[in-house]
Amino acid sequence: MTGVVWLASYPKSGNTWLRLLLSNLLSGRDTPEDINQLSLPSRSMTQFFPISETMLVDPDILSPAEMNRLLPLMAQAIADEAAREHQDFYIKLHTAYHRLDDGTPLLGRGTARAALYILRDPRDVAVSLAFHNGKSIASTVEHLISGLTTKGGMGQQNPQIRQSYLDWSGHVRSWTRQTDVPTYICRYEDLRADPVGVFARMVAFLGLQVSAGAIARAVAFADFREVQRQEAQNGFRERLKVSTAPFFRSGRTGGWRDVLSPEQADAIVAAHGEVMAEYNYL
Amino acid sequence: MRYYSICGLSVASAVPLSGAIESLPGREPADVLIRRQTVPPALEQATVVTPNWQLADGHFLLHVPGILRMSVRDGREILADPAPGQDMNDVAPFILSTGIAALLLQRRRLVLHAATVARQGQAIALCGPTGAGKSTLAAALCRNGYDFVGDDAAAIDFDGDGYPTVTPDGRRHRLWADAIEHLGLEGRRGMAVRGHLRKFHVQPEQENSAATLPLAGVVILRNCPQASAHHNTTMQRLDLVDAAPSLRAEVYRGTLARKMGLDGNLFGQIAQVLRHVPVWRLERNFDFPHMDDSLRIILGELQQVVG
Repeated sequence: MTGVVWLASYPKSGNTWLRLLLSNLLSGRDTPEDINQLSLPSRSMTQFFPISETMLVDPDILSPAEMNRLLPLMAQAIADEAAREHQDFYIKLHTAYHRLDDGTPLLGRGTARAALYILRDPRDVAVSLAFHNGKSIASTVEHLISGLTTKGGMGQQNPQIRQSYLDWSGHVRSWTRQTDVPTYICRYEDLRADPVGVFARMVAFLGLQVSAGAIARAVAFADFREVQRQEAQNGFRERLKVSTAPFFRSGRTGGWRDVLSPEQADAIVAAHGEVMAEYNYL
Repeated sequence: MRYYSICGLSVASAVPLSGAIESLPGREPADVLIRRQTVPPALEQATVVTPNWQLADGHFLLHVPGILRMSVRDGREILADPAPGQDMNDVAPFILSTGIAALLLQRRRLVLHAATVARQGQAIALCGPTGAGKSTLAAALCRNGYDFVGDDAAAIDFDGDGYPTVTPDGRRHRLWADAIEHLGLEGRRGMAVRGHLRKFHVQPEQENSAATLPLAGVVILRNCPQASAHHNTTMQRLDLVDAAPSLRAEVYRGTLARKMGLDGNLFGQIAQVLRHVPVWRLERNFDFPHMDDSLRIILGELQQVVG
């Protein structure tokens, strides 16, 4: 069975690594995938150009509410293509799982066959996000404890539609509590601790028929040192101009202990403790 | 009835087309008739069905939820059916973009997604996807001796000698508020493109008045944010092998053209363009602080073809 698979996460939570793993798994080649040209079959739900070509409507003349009403149809168009081509499309998303006023999921109903949701300790997210956005730790922590993130707009390399991520807890709850799409929930930390075992369970969840050897090879090809080597050599297209570190910076778990002040760490726990406890981060 | 001239077609419209430049009544009947009328949700005998648009022989149907349904037929007629509560002015941009594009494709016209400017009667098409900065670059060139020709769609035809020509799309120049500010065009700012938008119609400083202009060059715009401070613009002439597929990718509503079975026809027309006209690929950093440097390079390069 083929169709759309959502790869969903809050930013800086392992989404790119997940795509590297899947791409290396499905490439069938005996060399690592080029991080700047993944062969993983995909489509965009957020970039202006594919939306205007698929829906024949220019996102830049729509209000965010009008765009949201169009999105379930965009998801349906991608699902139809996947069915027509007997092909899976793995689609990266940072948006929270939203619904329109009439209850229709923003990502459409029955459009995806599965979702993989990856989450990460928000204290590590804060550190990673600060380097990624070229912002101070203090302001990033401040944003993480109080901010509702919306992203998108014109004036960048690929203009994107407005997307609402909610805050970290809201993001996790929106995806983990929806029951529309069969969803495999995975902690970044668990994937890091046992990549072969955890990735194998994800792959089994997706119903992909692959050998244990293929899983091990994909994990080796997507290894942090390999992707760091590629980034050092050729750069990475998803790195922002304002970033103050490589995109593949450390990938460590628990690195926040060396960076956040106790007050900053406590502030994140005070804001998101309930969901953090639910996922054994406390 | 209101009258417009769009891509060389005389258009008679029972609804005001906010964003298009009105003209005097022309010969009757007009090439294209636009009316407000109820549009059915589906086409009989549709050959292509997507979640929000359909195709049948000579017929195109579009649905934009909460905004409008639109029917485009035989390259002659557009019916617009606004959703309840929609202001006709807020619906017009959809007629002028996708409606006109479908209509021109039904007429098998080659239309590039491009803003067009001209110097000494020679047209330059500036191609690129939405957000690439076509209109902003056009405005900047118009501050440097170029005339404004068209904002979003460049319809290409061929004269008696087979030389490609451009016909203005008859639409007002549209710019985002930040570009208007950067270019000092506040005094020329008109109405918002749609009620809620920070994108406005702008009165060009120098406007072309010719009905048809020879096409002297095509520039394909690409943003390249990694471009360094020293090399923030490269403008490279493409050879034929690169130019043909590159230009095909700039066809306005290119996916629709493919679904309408027009690939072969369009490639023939593109080959004809490339026999006469150079194509450049322009990679630059789109940030306003870098714009003057980019502009110098572009003006220098274009001088080769437009003097």
